[in-house]
Amino acid sequence: MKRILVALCLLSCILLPTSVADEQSTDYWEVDLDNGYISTKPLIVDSQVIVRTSGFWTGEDRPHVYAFDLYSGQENWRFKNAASTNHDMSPLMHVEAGNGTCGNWSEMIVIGWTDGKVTALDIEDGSLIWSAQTEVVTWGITGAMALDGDDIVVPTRQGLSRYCLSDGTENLRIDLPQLGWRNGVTVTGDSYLIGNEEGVVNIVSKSGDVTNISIGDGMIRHAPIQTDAGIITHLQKDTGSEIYLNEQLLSEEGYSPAIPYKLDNDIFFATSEHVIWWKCDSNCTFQGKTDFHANGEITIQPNQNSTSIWYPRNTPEGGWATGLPGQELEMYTTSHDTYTTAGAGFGESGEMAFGNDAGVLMVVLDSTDHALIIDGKEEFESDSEESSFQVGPEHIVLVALVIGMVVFRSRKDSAMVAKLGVLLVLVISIIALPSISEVWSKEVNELSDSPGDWDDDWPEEWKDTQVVVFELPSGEVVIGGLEGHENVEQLTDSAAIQLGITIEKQTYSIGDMIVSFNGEELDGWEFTIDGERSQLGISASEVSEASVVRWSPA
Amino acid sequence: MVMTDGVHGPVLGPVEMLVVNVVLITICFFLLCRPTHSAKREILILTSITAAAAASRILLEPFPNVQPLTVMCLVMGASLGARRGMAFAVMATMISNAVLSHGWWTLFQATGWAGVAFAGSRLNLVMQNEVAMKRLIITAIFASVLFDWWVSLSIYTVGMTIGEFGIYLLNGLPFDALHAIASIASAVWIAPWLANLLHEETAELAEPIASGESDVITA
Repeated sequence: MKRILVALCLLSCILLPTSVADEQSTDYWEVDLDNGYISTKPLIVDSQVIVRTSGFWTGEDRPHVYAFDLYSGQENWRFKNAASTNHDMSPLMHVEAGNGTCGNWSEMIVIGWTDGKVTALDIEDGSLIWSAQTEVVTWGITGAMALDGDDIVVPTRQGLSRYCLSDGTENLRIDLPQLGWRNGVTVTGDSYLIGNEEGVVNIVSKSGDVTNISIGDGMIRHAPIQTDAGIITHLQKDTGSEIYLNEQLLSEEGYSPAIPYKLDNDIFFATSEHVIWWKCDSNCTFQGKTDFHANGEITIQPNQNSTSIWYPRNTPEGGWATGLPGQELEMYTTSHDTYTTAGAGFGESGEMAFGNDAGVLMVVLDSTDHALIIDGKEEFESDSEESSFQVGPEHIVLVALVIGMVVFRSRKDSAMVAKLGVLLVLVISIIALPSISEVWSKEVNELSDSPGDWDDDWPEEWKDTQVVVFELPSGEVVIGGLEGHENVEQLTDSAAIQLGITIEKQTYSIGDMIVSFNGEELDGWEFTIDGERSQLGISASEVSEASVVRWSPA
Repeated sequence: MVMTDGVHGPVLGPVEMLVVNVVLITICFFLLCRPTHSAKREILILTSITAAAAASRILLEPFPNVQPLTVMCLVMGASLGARRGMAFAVMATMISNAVLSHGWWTLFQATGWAGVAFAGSRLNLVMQNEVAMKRLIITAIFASVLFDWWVSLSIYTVGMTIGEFGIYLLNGLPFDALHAIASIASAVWIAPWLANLLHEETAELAEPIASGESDVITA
């Protein structure tokens, strides 16, 4: 019995330390957050980096919020929400310690979750200070919260709630008729502005009265922007997007608008096609645009004498661009680049924190090192995973096991040699598993690529081109002869435009999802590529130059 | 309310989660409620080893599908019998999943490892305190792979074709292989120690308890 208890105590002690970042150099560290996409900007607060994950939709893990030591990458604390529904894209809110009419509060991180919870965590240790519950209509909170004096205003799925920062007491609740998605809230002098999926900006007075402005037929998926000229919104539409000043259309833009950012009188927008710059004083004037694909958070990097604007690139190539629309952008790339919607986070002393759908948090401590800011497809200097061999703990274990086997062999203890040999095989298997699994998965996927979906009634000239089939309730519509599209989303968009089919999409952490064709939602829509279902989303599902994509009701 | 789907199947709402918990705890209760000669001592042994097993699972979480619990279930089943072994499996799964993540898949993991423990109790893997190592290793390999496939059923949902499920299982074969290798290592390193420990502890429990009158020799 004693041995059991001793072993138990030892195991418990070993469990206490948590994950530590993979140190790459003194100016850079990274850590793989195994449980999710990073869809929102990491925060750098004093000597901590705080980041949230939104769930990979794989494995048993659920979204977390983590705090790491800025300089060492050592994990300080983590907070998991097991009930989250995996679309946690509400930006983290840092709140300084303070006091107000409803009490005092310590420095905290406030988090909105997709299960409708609002949690205030102590920034020092991640302990729960208070928690509140808001409504859930499939999802809960997905938009940006805002501070209003000693209150925090939370955009909920179908309204907004206001809580006292000291204890989470709700002191205002407004139910609204429209559903919201990434529906951030803006605080003005006397009201709160909040958009929704029906293109309406609700103006909620601080006493609770509601008026609204109907902007247009589309979705407002960002906190409306208050300027001297009026309220700016970037309306997401089936056919692209539109930028509005109040109800006045300023410009028509591309698909899937990013969350716009206001810096003084300058407002920066982005879509799948451009980054765009407008200046709004008493009137709004266009400043410039540059080709780029950004759908997430636009952030700023304060420098000594200037400010840089950063845009995450939401393509398989990923990375972040910096610069002003209308001018050439500079790319910042890493070895973990992939689809990215999370903005870059910046510290007061030049530190930078990056995260993307790969779920790897990357922290650069010295951004004045210009060798790290690079053009094109180069990588962080410190990400030298292919450049040279580095001794890791696993190599030390391997050597120790081999030495152990040699020693016991010399003592003719064959039983121990066999036992160490088994351990050696296990360690080698663990090291090799990622590579083997990747290769194996590709082989398996090739096996399943066989069915095909060619219809002999289609024109011969469509052969070896891209074809899209829409099985609409009114009948099947097909278009072929398309080319040059890389994924299902691009191909479907192109086909729909040519056929005059309207598409309604929703944006999730895993990318866009099609909700309806020609307004027909039915029980959902699913697609096949060459007759086979894809395991991935529309933006991640690649198509060949001879693929047939078929959309049918679920 | 089923809220969403993931690779481990539907994420359960509070009511469904409650049902899963009640089912698993009820199973444990009925497996453990049989009276014994020394209930307190036995409960302490079972609890300690269960906690150690759960802790080991949490400790090894960074290593994909390295699950010493599979071999521990076999040995526990072989040493303590089907009821205790299955109860151990269910409890260890629930405790470790409270940290690792609890959900629909817990039901499959708990029943899977309980099945492994049951198999252990029927295959003569431990005689007294001696482990039949060759038999244990072969059983562990099969148990590891079958357990993985059983747990994979948790992702099987309406609308998923057999072919798609087959592709899912095929994709997981490297992980199944790693589970099997880890089980061999566990069998070699942990099983003899655990079997010996259980033998010592349970042997003490099995000693006859003195009762009735005895003659007293007085000087």
